[in-house]
Amino acid sequence: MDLAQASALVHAHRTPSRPSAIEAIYATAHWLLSRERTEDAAKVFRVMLRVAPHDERGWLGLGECHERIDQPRIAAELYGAGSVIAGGSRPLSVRCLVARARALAKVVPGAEIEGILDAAESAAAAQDDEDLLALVVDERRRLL
Amino acid sequence: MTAPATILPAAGAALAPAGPADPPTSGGGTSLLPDPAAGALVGADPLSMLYLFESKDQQLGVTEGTSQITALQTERHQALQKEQQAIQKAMQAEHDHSFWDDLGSVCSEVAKVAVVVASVAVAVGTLGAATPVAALAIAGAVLSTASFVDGECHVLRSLGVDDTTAGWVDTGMAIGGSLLSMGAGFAGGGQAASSAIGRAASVVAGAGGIGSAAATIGKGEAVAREDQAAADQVASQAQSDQAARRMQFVVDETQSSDEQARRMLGTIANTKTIQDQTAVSTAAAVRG
Repeated sequence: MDLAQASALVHAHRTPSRPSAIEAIYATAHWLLSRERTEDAAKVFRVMLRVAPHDERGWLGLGECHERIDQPRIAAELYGAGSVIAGGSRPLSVRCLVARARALAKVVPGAEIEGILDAAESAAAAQDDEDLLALVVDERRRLL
Repeated sequence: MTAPATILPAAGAALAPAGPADPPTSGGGTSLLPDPAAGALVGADPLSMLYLFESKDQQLGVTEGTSQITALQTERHQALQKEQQAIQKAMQAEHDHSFWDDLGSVCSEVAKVAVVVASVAVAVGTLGAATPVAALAIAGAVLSTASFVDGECHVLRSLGVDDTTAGWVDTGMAIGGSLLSMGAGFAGGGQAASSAIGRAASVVAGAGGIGSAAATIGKGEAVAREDQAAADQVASQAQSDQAARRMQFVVDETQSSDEQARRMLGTIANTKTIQDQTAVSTAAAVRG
């Protein structure tokens, strides 16, 4: 029995739907990251980005992988792209913007970071999300 | 700056029943990665689930995802091009502003034409560059300026160019400007735009040749301005290059995943095979 046959047998009662498959991919990547298997986690996050580019978790996770191997600038670019692409129906992804500010805080002075946090705060306010607003306020206090 | 807290949330219990639940973070602060959905992998084998998804949903899911991100990349690319054009136009406007403000005599008008003609030559010369849309926008802007200058001041006529030739140059530059702007509007698009641009470039090249006499006459006053324009161009190009590199990284990260996904399928299959072989071996050992 090869893997395809085994997979079909395991999931014979219920072929995983697209949403459940995405959740499984994310859970797998998250688990790999929690085990410090950064390279493996990055591969899975890339698969997730191909399948669900609008899901901010993929951008956040892949960026995190790059940060863990001391590549904050690359991570910042991924977060920047994610902030726009993963915004979906919203104008910007607040979490991606916050992550970008965090990554850039390691390599550049505060002026650019303040601008990013301003954008994040505006986006959070526009979404009327108190949790996101609190996240930005806390991050501003911590980084600036 | 205060000490950062962990950046990642606890992993889902379904996936990580043992081991570190909170991955250490490199960035600090509260976690930005949410927990996986509860039960995302309950009763499931993540390896087989991944494989099944990758193999069964290849056409629907992955292809759709790839096309989505390709479309998004195109949007981002176009947005980047517009941003580059805006930067170029802003820098050109800044240059023109200081330049025009300094003009006050017929002799300076000669210098004005000289710079414009030189700019046209540069702009047309960049049409074959790697960033054709930005180059087209620059060329279009410059040619529009040249046409405006000639129509307003008739400086070519004052330089001894006969009316017929001056009118032809004026018309040629106007056509060149409008066609090139249209080409930029098409964002590097169709064959028709390309051929129109080719014709426009030919017309403008002729205008540049006729105007070279003006460039020679006015070069004393124009050299400093041309140096400034060159410096601006270098700075602008550096900005464009940086932006292009940034976008290229993101594109590489996502596009290269085609190959990585294929490798991943192989890795999943190999891992599963090893697991199966281990299980068989264990069963055999138990049976004796």
